[in-house]
Amino acid sequence: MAWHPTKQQKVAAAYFIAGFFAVAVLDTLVRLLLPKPAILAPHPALSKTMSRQDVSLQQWSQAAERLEEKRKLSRL
Amino acid sequence: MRWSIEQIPLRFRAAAAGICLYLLWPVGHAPEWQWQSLWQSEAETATALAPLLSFYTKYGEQALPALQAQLELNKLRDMELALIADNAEFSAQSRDDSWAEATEFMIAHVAQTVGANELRIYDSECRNNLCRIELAAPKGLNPEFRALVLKYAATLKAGDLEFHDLKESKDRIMLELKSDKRLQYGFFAERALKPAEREQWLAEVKAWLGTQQNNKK
Repeated sequence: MAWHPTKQQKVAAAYFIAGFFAVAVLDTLVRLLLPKPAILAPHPALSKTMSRQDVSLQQWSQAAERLEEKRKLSRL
Repeated sequence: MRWSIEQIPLRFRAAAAGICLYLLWPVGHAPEWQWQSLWQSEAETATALAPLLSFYTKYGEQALPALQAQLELNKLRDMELALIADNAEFSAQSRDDSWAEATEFMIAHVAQTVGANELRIYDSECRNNLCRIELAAPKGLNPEFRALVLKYAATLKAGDLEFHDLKESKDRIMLELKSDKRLQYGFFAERALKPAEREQWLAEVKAWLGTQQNNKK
């Protein structure tokens, strides 16, 4: 016999989905409202790449410094 | 009366589960650098970003995949440095069996050959990259015995064991030696240090360095 959800189960499923999307919307708002450093504004591609990683500004700069060092070493 | 979860209406439990699912979703959080700009002034942010921005203005968008790969490699390096710091003390180390057994054998063998059997080892134990040797010193660390210990340590140095520490007690001295071999970590630490993507990150950095060289030629 096929399973049919009761009304209570349907309401619970709706609340589950509503809860998920409510926090998703809230999170998107937080991301949009959080300030971005003004010096990043002229470089949208860089700030987009930076958004994909949950790390600090210092860690980004360290990575750039390390790459620059490697480039210098590879030219030797 | 005992409390049970059933007392919370089902719809609220369902909504809480939905919220938890979103929060556990790995992308469900803003990046740290964006939070950082909340409490850092514009000037502080600019200083922190200076090397990154000069790099980006110099090499442009082609450098971005390599930059991201380097960031991941840096994270792995930081993780390894933390593990090395955790293993700095002999007491904090676990045992790397194959290396430890071979080195203990070498320590005993060298003790017999150096100084014509004058050195008596009470105990020797190796762990991950450190070895402790307890040598009998009934007359303390007198000049002859010191010369013998130095000769012993110099011979062990040829076998990749550097002198690390020496502690003197009543009738014995404790010699601690360190090897520059790579530390062996537990299963989970090793797996975290060598994720499947590591090769790809290395390749991306290498590819970018390659194109830089070609551009120069």
